[in-house]
Amino acid sequence: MNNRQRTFSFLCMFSMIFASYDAVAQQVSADALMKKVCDRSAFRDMSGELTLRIVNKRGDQKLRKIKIWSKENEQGENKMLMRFISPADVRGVGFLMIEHKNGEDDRRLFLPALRRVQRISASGKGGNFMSSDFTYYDIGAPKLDDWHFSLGGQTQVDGIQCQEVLGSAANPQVTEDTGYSKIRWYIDPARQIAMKADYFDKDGQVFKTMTVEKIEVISGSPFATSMKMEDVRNGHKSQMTFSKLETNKGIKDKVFTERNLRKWTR
Amino acid sequence: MKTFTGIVLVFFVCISSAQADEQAVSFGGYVKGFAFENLTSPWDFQRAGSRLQITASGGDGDPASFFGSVDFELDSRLLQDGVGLERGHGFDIWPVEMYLNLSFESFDITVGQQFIFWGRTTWVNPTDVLTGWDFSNMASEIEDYRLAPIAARLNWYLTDDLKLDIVWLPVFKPNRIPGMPPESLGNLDIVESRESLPAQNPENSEIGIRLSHSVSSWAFDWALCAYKGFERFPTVQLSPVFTQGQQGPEMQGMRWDSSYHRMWMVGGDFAKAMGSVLLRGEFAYKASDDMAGNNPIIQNPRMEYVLGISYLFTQEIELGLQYIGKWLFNYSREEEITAKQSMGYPDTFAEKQADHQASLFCKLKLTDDLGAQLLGIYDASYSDFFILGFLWWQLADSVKAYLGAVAFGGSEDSTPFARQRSSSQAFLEIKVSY
Repeated sequence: MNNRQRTFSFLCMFSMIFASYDAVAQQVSADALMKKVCDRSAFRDMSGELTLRIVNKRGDQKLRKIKIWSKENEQGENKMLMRFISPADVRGVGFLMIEHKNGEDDRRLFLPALRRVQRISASGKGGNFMSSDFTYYDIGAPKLDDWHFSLGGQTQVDGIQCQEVLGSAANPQVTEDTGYSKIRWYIDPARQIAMKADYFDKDGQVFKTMTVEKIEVISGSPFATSMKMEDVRNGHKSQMTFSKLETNKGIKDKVFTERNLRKWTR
Repeated sequence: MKTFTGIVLVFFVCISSAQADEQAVSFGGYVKGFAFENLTSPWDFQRAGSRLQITASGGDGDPASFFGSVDFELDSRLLQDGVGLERGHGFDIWPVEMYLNLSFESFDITVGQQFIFWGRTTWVNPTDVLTGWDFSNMASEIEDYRLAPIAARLNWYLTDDLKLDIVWLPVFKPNRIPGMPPESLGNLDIVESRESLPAQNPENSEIGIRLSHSVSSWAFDWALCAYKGFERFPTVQLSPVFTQGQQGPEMQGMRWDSSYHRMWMVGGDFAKAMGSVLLRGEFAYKASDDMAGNNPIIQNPRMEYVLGISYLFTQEIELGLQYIGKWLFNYSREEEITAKQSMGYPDTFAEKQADHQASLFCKLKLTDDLGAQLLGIYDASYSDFFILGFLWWQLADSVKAYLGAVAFGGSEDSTPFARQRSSSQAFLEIKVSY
């Protein structure tokens, strides 16, 4: 597994999975297709705001606004800082994650109410991201080596003829860690963006579906700026929308430090 | 009062200057309603009230920023007034925190009233000596039961991961302990009491220094620290009070004199993450005015240590276990008891040389809107315990309710936790953040 495959950024994952590239091979194997999609990282760093709308089966909504900064170093290791803007009771909560290809990921949480930065343990990639239907695996670090890919049929998604790619877990541990036995992506061949994805549980049943709702061109590349994840078992839905995105601005490493994590008053 | 007025003035000058510079000033805070019920007979309804907290922050940190948080509380409180109790019955205003921060390339300077927490273990932190406790206000949030000191603090970043923290505390702030002094000890009434705080002069200011290092690639943190200052728990001297009766002097009761002795501390801590497991440890050697252990009412030099492990089963369940130990140097329990008896003390409780405790910490998220948190400490040496637990409901975004309880108990009345039995209480809080 190469470095780039191993570590993907929180945001760059979307740019990788959903990013375009100019030339599209007509006949490529599923492995090559997914590798190319994932290897085409358009952005070295990125910042912006993320709005997370969580809707339960009763229709009650929760809205979270988060500022995010992300950067990948030359070794393909990713750094990410997130800070809650709203709602008021979590304003200032910060989360810092620094990936290490040869060691434990460094995860630290700043809780303004406790006035402390705490080292936290990893909950596994299958843990829900900020109580949403997206998991850390969905948004963080898809590893190509985790899956055996095969090409499926052609399916219309939002009027676009998409190529199905089915990923089956390479081993039981992948399913254990991610909660998924299979993932089926629907790739727009022209833009090389996944327009939709189905997630299969351990019993092989589809239990979550992700759909892309909006694509914008960021720094010359198409980027999925709004997507929805729905848990079909319980009707729970989460929508992620990116705004104020800036890329390749040369974000300094000092942003991804405990010192900066503490600065919540700004 | 002068200190408070000064801090508030600085606060509003900062807000004004920030507004004059057209820099953004952010306001926030919360409104909270609360009620406390005593858990010991006769089940008094102990306290009810509401609080408005206003926070203001501003400046972009280049180089200056500020933060202020003030509580306005209407509190109907039936606790017995204690030594230095500020959060009392009626309407009160007090600053929770209020400080200026200057940020430079490699260091930050923070001046004002601010929480400073040292240590990495859960709840019990031997090196956490700079910020006092308010044992009369144990509730769900840390700012309810901790007392931010006035401090000047330098955080010098030697590298991005290596930090030197130097703290100077010009004003001593002791712990607040309910029921101190008590109305009586044994069958003797406390008829007089006096608290002696260290004189406010440069010689009595406190200073702490801490070097901390995060080794990111190992998910490992460590720190070493030292402190010179005062014990935040009082030393109590009891003496008989006599009045002149018809047949000579008659004993009226006891006089309670509380004072605070010097303390020196060196210690350290660490935290190491290994997947879903987190190891944490902390230790501190604390020396006192009574290094030889001759004075039975002054703390002996001691070593305090905590070793813990926590495990994140899922995002919804976290469980932590800790061993908490203490060892007293130059100490004999028998001699301590004998000495206290010879001084006429009715309460002859004396610590054991070795103290062994275990703590359990558990966080549960039952649904998106409902969770629970529990902390329990059992002291095997004295067979007593302390429990703080609560349920929380997220009623809506920024609206949260807490229902919980604090309980102290033990097989004997005189042991450290059990003697706080009367402070056991249930509480209900509803908090709306804005």
